[in-house]
Amino acid sequence: MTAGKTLLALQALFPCNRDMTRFLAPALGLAVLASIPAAAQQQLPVKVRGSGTTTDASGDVVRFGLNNDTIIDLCAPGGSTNGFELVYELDSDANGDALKVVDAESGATVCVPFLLYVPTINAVFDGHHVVVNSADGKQSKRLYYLFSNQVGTSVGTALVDKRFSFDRNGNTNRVSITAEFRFFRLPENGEGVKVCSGRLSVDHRIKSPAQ
Amino acid sequence: MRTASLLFLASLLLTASTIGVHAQARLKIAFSAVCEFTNSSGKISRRTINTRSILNDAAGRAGVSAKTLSLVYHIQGDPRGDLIQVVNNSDGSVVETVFMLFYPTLNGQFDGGFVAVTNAANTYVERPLFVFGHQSSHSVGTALIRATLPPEGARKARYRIRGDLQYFMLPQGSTGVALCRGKITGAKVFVPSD
Repeated sequence: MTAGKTLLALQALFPCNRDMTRFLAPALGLAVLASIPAAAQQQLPVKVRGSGTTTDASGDVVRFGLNNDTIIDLCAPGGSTNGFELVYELDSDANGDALKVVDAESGATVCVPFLLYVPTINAVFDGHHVVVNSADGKQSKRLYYLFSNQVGTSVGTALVDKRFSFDRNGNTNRVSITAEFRFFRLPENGEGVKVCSGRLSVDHRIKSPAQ
Repeated sequence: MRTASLLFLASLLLTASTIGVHAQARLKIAFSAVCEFTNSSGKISRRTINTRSILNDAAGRAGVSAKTLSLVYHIQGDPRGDLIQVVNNSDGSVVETVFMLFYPTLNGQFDGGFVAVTNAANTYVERPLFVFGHQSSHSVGTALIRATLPPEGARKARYRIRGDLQYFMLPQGSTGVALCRGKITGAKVFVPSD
């Protein structure tokens, strides 16, 4: 996919947010220049649990729960009852991973509530090197910046711990991901600022072709 | 555009009212963090950073005893947010700024000082802030700060602050990149002894 096509695709994903695509354009250009081979882009079932706070109409701070359905609602209101589900996409693009809402039957992307991108670091190109890996390749930890479908600048971070298991041939046969995240939502739908935090987890076994 | 203007006005009002009550408030805090990095054997190891290690490091650089220093959370120590600082116990002068915790920046709009959840009395605030250190001009993480503040006009200033930090440190010396998860707690207002 060319950078242009990718950008068009992103504009389709973020129909109300031109800032996001404008922000992503240079990054996409760099990604294409780097000729990064098509990554696995695996979509893995994810479980989100957390809570958030906001101010209600009486001026009190109120707490609410956060789960897969509430995350889906951020970009596809009512989506969980329309056969949509939330997935964690590894290596979604050259900048990192994504939490996506997909059609459960076709797997087609419906919308993207969060992108998880490596840090940007002045004069050091980008923050792909901001990672703590074990030498055996079984564990990888990163601090990702969260980008939402509301604004082109980061809205939080996630400390992500990825663990991989391998079969006797060295193929990955299990991916486990846990993350602690926090983000804010700007005022929307008559509601005020929300501050949210929680955890997400993925535990996915991969069948090898021979099995 | 109209929403942006209204929000901007709201942010100015909020900022002005908050500054009026809590300007220059400094609280003594306890800090603890666990940082993970890859050791020389290729395994992921942990090391702890806490109030004592921060004060010892700052004291070493300043050539003073760590006993003469305190770690404080400086509410609105900067127009862009809050500061975590090492200060001199006797006169309150700043020895080092350890972290800068700044409001979110929002593209093409205005600053994110309004990105906070507060009650109507403005005595409780929950705020996401971006963490800045001294290794990069970009943020190195985020902090989620929850603060109980004294009501306006209160005779006795009662504060309580709790914060959770996620941040990274770039390679320094023989240590590679480190990812840290930290906590701060504080309730006592810092008062210089002089």
